[in-house]
Amino acid sequence: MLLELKNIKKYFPVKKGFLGRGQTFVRAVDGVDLAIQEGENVSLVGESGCGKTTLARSILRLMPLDGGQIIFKGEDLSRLSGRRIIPYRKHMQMVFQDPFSSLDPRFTVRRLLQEALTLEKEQYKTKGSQEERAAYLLSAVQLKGDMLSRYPHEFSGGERQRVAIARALMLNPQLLILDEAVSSLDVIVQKQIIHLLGDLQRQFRLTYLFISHNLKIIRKISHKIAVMYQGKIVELAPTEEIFNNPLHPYTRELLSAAVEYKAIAREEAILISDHSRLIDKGNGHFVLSE
Amino acid sequence: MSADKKHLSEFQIALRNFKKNRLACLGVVILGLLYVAVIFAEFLSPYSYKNENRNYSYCPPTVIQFFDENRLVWPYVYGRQLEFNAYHGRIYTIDKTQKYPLRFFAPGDTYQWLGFLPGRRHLIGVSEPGRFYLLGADSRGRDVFSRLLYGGRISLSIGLIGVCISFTIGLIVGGVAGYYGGRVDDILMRICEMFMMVPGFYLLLALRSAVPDNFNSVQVYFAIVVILSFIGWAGLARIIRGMCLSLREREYVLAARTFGLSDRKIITGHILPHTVSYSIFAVMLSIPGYILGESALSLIGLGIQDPFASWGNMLSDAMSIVRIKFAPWILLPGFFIFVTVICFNVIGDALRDCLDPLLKSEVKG
Repeated sequence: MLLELKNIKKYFPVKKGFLGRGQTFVRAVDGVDLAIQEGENVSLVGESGCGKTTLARSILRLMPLDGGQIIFKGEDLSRLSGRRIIPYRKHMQMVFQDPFSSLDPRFTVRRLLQEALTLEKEQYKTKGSQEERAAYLLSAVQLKGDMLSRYPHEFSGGERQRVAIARALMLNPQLLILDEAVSSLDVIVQKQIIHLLGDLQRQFRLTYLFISHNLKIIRKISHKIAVMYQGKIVELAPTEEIFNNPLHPYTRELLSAAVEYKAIAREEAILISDHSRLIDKGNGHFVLSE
Repeated sequence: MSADKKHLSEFQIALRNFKKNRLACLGVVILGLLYVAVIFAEFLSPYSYKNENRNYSYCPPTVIQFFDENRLVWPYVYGRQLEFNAYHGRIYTIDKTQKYPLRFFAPGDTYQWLGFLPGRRHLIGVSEPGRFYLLGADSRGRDVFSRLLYGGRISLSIGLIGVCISFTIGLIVGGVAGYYGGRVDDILMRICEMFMMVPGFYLLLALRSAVPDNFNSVQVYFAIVVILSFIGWAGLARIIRGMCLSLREREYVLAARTFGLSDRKIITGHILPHTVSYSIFAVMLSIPGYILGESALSLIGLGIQDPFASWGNMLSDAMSIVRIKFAPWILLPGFFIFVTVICFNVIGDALRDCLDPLLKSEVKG
């Protein structure tokens, strides 16, 4: 087991009452359980605002958790605080949605990549070895080595995203979280990047956690799909199982909208009660129900 | 590194646009000349700032003569004769019998250039007992031109040093408050507001009165710098904090955290550099405030003390309308303050114009 999430919770305060009384919260992530095996690509799908990105950022401890455990290779990361989390960061890296804002525009590609090596300073002591590593990863993402001295604003969206992927790989992570990493790119570049991700997975023995709302891409690349809705995972099953046999009403709605471009008229609002649990329906297929 | 030259950062592009603004370039040239002039004040000035001759009190500017009996000769100046009129008013008449040729690299008052390099040569001068007042003399018969150079050294440097100190404080406080948010932010911002609440000039006077009055001139100088920067940092800290609040949500900041950069490195490497475009023109626009603050303090006698010169305390001579009528050149320090302030403002405005697109992209992402 590479990563295990247990009952992850992240609430955001909405209204601050006088002296903290009467405060209300948005349950952005509300009790998520998820397990990721080594080499098993998992995808999180769901509409905007359902908590996918919040979940991803919570896993990386980019924001404080409100509850739950993050167990990475048997080590509970959720209890580690501040400085003690830093050594674990190199195992999990992230590629962000917008390649125009995830690369600091003031830095050259060389500096961007070398900076990502901070945690591996011991291994790459000299400037030369750092540069070698940067050039190696640039070639791994099929970019030319002479791009090192250029600034992000000189690149196209696809090239920037390749740089971002190369940067995420600098520390040789085991888990790579791709937060809508291809959704801002045009379809041809999307295809190239997806292809590249497949190559990189074989080359660097990566495990991917995809976050997307693009079901076509997800179908191509993931082994397991988790459907998120209102901060909870409503359905979790192997990829083909989800596409062939969607059980939860929200999953059905999502599939018909994405695959057939057809909106299902909602007969009644999808209600999720606090007591609902994921129920095993066989074949590794879990559905949220009372 | 020659290959790197092709690739301009956004900042370099902005700087290229700045060069197209001719007014601002003129400002840079004027300021440049002023700063060079005050750095070499000892050499460029004919006299020391404290070289006085009471016989020449409010002596008008000396005219350099180029012709002698309609023949072009080596430039020289006439001597002056002091007489008193019926009301004991001073009248200076030109004494054409005394001629003092101008001398370049003339030996004169000894000095230590910037406090360490000894010398006694001045660019221009006349031999004693002649006096050479390019821009007239002040009440004690000291050369206004020389004192303008020495005074400019104080007035112009106080702006730079003051701005450095207050911007360091402002950037650190604003950066920390904005990056961490929450309680840290609350506490730091309330402190800022305490400073902003008090009207600047009263705070200036109050802080000045807290400084012992037996300080020597160097101590007074630094006390004024510290006081001025103490007042100036809060406004900047608030704006930087606001920018940092939005900058810390940037994906490149999150990315920097995923690969384990320390908070200090993130703030100094990824957050504060993005406030630079704002800071640069804010610095330019706030320097005049320091120069004016020092002048105001010195003008009312709380700043740099006589015989040391600053543009402010030179102006205190010009507080009486009678003296201005009799010797209008004592207003010259005011003119220099005016020119300097205008230059900084023009440069600041130009910088804002060319950095603005950059700034907008910083704030909006």
